[in-house]
Amino acid sequence: MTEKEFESLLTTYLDGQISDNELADLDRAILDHPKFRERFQTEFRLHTLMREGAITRLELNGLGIGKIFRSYGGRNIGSRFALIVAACIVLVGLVLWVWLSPGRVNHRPVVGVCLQVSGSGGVMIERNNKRIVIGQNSPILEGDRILSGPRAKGLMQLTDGVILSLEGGSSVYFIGRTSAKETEILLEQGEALFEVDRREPNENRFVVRTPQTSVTVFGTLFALETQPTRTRITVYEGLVHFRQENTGEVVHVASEQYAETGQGPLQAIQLEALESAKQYMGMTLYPTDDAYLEDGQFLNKQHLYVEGGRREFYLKFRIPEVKKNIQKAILQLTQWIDVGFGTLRFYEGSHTDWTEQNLSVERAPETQQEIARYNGIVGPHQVIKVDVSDLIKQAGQYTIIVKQDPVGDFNDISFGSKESPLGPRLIIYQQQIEQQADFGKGLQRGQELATLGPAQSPNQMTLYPTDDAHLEAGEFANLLYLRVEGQRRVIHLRFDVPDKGIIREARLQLTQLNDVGSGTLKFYEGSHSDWSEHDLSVGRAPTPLWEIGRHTGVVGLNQVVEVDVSDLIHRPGLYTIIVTLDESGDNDIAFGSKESPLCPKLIVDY
Amino acid sequence: MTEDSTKDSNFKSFVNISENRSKLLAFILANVQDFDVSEDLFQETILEILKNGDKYDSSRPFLPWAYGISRNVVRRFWEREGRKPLTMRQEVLERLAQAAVDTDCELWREERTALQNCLEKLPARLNKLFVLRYGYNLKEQKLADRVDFKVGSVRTTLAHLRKRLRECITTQISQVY
Repeated sequence: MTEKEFESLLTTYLDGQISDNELADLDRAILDHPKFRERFQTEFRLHTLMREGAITRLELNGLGIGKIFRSYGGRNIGSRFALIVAACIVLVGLVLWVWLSPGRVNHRPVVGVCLQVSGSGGVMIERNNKRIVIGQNSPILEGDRILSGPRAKGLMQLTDGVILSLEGGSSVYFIGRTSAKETEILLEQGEALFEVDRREPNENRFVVRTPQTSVTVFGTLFALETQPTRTRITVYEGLVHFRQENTGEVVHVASEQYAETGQGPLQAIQLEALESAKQYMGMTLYPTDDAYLEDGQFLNKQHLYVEGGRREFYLKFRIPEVKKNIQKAILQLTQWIDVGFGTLRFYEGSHTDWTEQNLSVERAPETQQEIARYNGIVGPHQVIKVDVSDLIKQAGQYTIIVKQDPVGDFNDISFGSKESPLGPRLIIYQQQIEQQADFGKGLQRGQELATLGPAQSPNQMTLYPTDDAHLEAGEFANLLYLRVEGQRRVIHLRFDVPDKGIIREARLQLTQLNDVGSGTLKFYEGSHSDWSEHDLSVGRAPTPLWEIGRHTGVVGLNQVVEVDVSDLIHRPGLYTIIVTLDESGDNDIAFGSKESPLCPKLIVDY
Repeated sequence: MTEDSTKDSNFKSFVNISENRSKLLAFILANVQDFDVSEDLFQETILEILKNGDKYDSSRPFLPWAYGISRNVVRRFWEREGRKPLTMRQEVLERLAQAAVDTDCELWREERTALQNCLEKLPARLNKLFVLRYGYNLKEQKLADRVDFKVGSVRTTLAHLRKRLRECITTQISQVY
């Protein structure tokens, strides 16, 4: 084969148009001739890198869709091709790394990875004098600076296991290893919470510096807040050495203590009660019993752990007779020790015949129906509030079981137990619902609350699908996302609407995840609801009956698509909704599934 | 498996995927020959790698293990597409995929950095073609329609584009090192 013939074959191959015979010729040439093999490798490497480069460019232009299409002078280009590129939006974090990746000269070790970003404003990475928005999975290199927007929050894990939760308006610089046994980071401004595994004195030390202080950590959970003239450390667990650099003073700050520079001699001071339960006195109930299950054993400690497939916790409340006419019941959990993220599900327990002393696997209540759900990050001392009014309607005893979906393996979360200062609370509202000013205070910062929003009316319910899946190439996929694309990919959702009265309105909300796109989304009633996401097959899948809603246009990053499905959902029962995307869109769109933090919602007004 | 080791294996997987993203993507791309499909399958591969992180023996190189997972993901894709059992074509594609990534990781890093600079220097006409082909994954007639070329001209121009970038990358690297 001549070089010219080989080049021609290579071009055809890269264009994806090569025939079987040509492919066999190319294969033989590469096997037989090292120079052709090398040429093939060089060209294919370039081919891949060009794709990555193109995607990176477009994404860094804020997906660049409008600008690029306008520059090419074709409105149709926008609608035709718009957002095909974003089929790989899921890779954004990794692709950003590609953009930022230094060459051999500047190669620096990876010191961590971004686990999650929440809130608005984004979290940026500053590297080589460039600032780029980072997302989940973006690696952090030695020498990077991470900056969070005023209302954004970033959760990161470092290579030595340290978990760092960066609050809004903060900046942290990753110094990296300063000696064989010491890793340093600099909190330049703002606030961060650190969770550091316990380590022996001869193991690698973790040092956090601020402009005024240094903190040497041997395994602890602490928050550090630094401002231009002072630094405050609050230790929740463990022990740290806290040093004020300009005076050389050192104090040991232990659990439930804090120390602050600029307040006279440096000293460790006992924390006052962290909770604000008193504001609810007379309305707030505490569990009579609580414990968590771990590897077949129930543990009654100061914290309650939940971890998908491994740990779950049990709460028992007694509602006294005096609490009549219960209008609403809100369960509050306060994060303590382990931060994390994911989906927490709250279930009714099958009985209340247990105490935290005698709870065992054999006598533990079983889960009944799901009564509430929470999705997203649980940050330091964050208060989770969920509406458990469906369960708690009158005096009596109740068991609530809390589980986490097993998505993501380093997502254990712990909350204070009744033995801690941050124990669970059940707030009972009688008669009229109180519109308390501080009701939103404990809500997730910048995140939605799964079952209760400040503006949600008492006659409104947010339902989540009992099952969801998308059909892809003849098979149903039950993944973190639901993808829709012409006839090739079709979404199936199944909802169980309870009997709470006359239904006035029902709206379906889908939130974009992974793939942005455009076109006309059509929502149909499914022919039956006798399916689950585990047994769905082409043969037994419901088929679309008639259209109940439509959405036309671009679906951008994290955009919520809402359609009125009141025509279908006007009474209690099981419903299947099928979603398709017109093929003219020439692209696909992905939404969060119920397994994701951005799961579909059915908002029902009674 | 302890809690810590599970965390550790997941984290290492994240880092390994990040560091070897291009080669993993190239491996899948060479198998399926379509950007969009390969990125879908890359996503599936990531999930599989994270799910099986605890099975990875960290004393061994990461990439061969990850290629194995990618290969299974690609085969499942062929099955879904109704192309089972493996045809001769797929066997050849797998062999070519292995050949395509059988190069030094450092080379990929250097060329990626150099390519960023080279792309900045593309004239508007080639830049447009580059974005449409490599960004929007347009091929053949659709691509030709957008740029008002004949299909044959598009192929020739794309080959010219790659040649130009290849020469630019070579120059860039020789200047740096």
